[in-house]
Formats: sequence, structure tokens, C-alpha cells
Amino acid sequence: MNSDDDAILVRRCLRGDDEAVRQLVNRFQGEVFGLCVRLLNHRHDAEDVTQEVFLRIFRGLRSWDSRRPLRPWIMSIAVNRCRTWLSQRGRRPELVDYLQDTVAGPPVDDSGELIEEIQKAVAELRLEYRTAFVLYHEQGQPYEEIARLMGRPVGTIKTWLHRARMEILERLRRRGMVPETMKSEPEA
Amino acid sequence: MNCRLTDEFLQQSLDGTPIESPEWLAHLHHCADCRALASTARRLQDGLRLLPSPLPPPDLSQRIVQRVLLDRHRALRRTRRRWAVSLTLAAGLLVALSLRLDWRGSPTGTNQRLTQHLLTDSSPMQKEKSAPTLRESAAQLGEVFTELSNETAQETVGQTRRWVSNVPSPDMPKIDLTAMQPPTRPLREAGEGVSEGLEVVTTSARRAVDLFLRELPMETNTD
Repeated sequence: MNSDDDAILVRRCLRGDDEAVRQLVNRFQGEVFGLCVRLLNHRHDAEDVTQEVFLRIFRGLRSWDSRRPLRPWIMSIAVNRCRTWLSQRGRRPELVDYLQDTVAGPPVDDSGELIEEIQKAVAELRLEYRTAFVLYHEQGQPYEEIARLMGRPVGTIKTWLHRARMEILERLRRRGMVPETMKSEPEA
Repeated sequence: MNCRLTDEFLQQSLDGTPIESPEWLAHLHHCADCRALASTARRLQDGLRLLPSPLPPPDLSQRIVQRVLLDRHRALRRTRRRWAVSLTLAAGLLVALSLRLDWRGSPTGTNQRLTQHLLTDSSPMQKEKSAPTLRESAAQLGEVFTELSNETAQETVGQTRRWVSNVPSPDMPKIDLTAMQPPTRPLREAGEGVSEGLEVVTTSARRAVDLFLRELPMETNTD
């Protein structure tokens, strides 16, 4: 899917094509929902916010600069919406039942526990660190795109990501997620 | 080689860049803390690869589309309503403007009558500004005299008729005046009527003379 396809799809949406609306929603809803789940740590909230994100996307579709890729623009709306939602929620984030996110197959050995610990560690990060971590490691966004999306310099994003990783590593180590055998077999 | 470089190599490793530094590997053999940190980083990488993407509920897409389409239809209705209100206001404004222009451009009906009335009201002022000539004043005086004469003549004739109707004729039988006390009253009333009629005549004549005298000196002075 390239930016030309996105531009065509957006033009169709602006012309009032309902089928184009469905296509655009189907194309990006997975990523938007995934980001919302990670940032909000709550599936039901993530569903509500995902709907709001798409409402805002279609309301502001005319303001999208077609010379730029559509995906970062959409993800920036999702990030901002999650940030606003969290500031309004005013309560501690609830952890997601991560098992329902598992796609297929039973977890091998302690993989399930490892995944759960990683998720909890990510959930405990402060929002800026969490956003940078999720966008980089789960959404696969490059530093420059994250910086543009969050409105911060690349250096700041690198710093946030570094701190996020170190906090997660520290938690995993405290929780005993590193077998003694691995400790004695260093490997880069 | 020191522990501070471990942090840098770990970040590169988590970024996906393979680390091939013999010096760092050698450091890891000697430093247990750095070795534990590197092992944890590797576990994190493994865990991130296994991390499942949160799957949206099957009906979420449909819900989103329905909400978006509903929102678009509402927005369309709002836009249409705004246009309708704007057009109505514009039309009303145009009508009001055209009516005002029409009133100013061509006065009709009441406006025309009002204009005439104003013009009529302004005529005395214009007359005051332009003083009448001696010939016009004399003509006016003549008209006044004629009117007064006619009026006086009519009043005199009327009073005379009333008086004559109350005077007994000579060929009528002689009437005892003492016995006929009441008929003497009409005679008195006739006399009073004559004097009243003459008073009107004298008053009218006096007014005419006053008017004549008031007009004459002005003409004399200007000449």
C-alpha cells in the first residue's frame, strides 16, 4: 500500500464515497486500535478512542497534506487522542487481559510470562516513554517519524526510548525473567 | 572497555544493529552486571517478537463506519441548514434594500401626499419672503371690500326682513296697543337686530380700513 493509493482513497472519501470510508477504516483500524490498547492499557477505552480517532480523521481529512504519507498523520491523531483521553480519565490505567490478544498457539515455556511482564513494564512507563517505545517497537516507526508525530526533536525521542528500555530491562531483571544460564553465556 | 559502553551497545542492539565488538564481548566475560543486562536485553527482544498485536473486536470496523457515516450525514445536514439560513438572510436583506431604494427613488401613495403636504406647508414661508406689490395689495383690498360689502348687504337684508315681518301693515285693523303688550316685544327685538347688523357692518368696514392703512405706509416708505 503506497501513498498514491492512500491519496486516491482519501479523494474518494472526500467525494462522499461510503465504500472508500469502509476501506480506509479497514486499512488503519488495526494499527490505531493496537496503539490505543498499548497506550491506554484498556481494551474498552481503546475501542471508544479508536472510534473517536476515526471520527476526527474524517472530519479533518481535508486538512491532510497529500504530499505527506497518510499513516503518520493518522497515528499522530491517535497519539494525541490517547493523550487527551488519559489526561481526562484521571485514574490509574487498568491492565489489559493480554491473553485475549494472543493470536494463535499456546505460549512456549515461560514466553507467556515474559510477554505479560513486558506488557506490565510497558504499561508502567510514563506516557511519553510508552508512546515512543510502542511506536518504535510495535508500530515500527523510525525515530524521525516519531519525532514529527510527537512534535519533539529526534534526540529527545532517542532519550525517551533509551530510558523506556532501561526501565523495562530493570523490571524484567527484578522479576527474574533472566535465567541464570543466560547470565553466564553472554551474547550480543 | 568499561560498563558505560555497555549501555551504548545495548541500545544499538535493541535498535536492531548487530554488535560485533570483541572488546565488548570480552568485557561481558568479566562483568556480571553487564552480562545480566545484556541477557535481559536479549530476552526483551525475544519477548517483543512474540508480543501479539492487540486484535480489534470483529464488529469494531462496522461500528466505526456507521458512526463516521452518521457523523458525515449530520455534518451535511448542518451545512445545508447553514446555507438555507444564510440564503434566507441574504434574500431578506436584498428585499429590504430594494424596498428602501424604491421608496427613495420614486415616491408613491402616502409618500407623494406627504411630499405635497410639505410643499404646501412651505408656501407661507415663501410668501413671507416675497413682499406683495402695491397693485397686489390694492387688488386684495378691493376683494376684501367686495366681500365685506356683500356680507353686510346680506345681513342688512336679513335683518330688514325680520323687522318688516314684525311691523303691522297700514290696512290692518287698529289694534289696541295696551291690550296687545306682547306684540311690542318683536319691535324691540327688530330694533336690536338692526343695531346688531349695523355693528357688523361697522366692524367690517373698520377692519377694511385698518388693512388698507396698514398696507399703504409700507409702499410709501419703500418708494
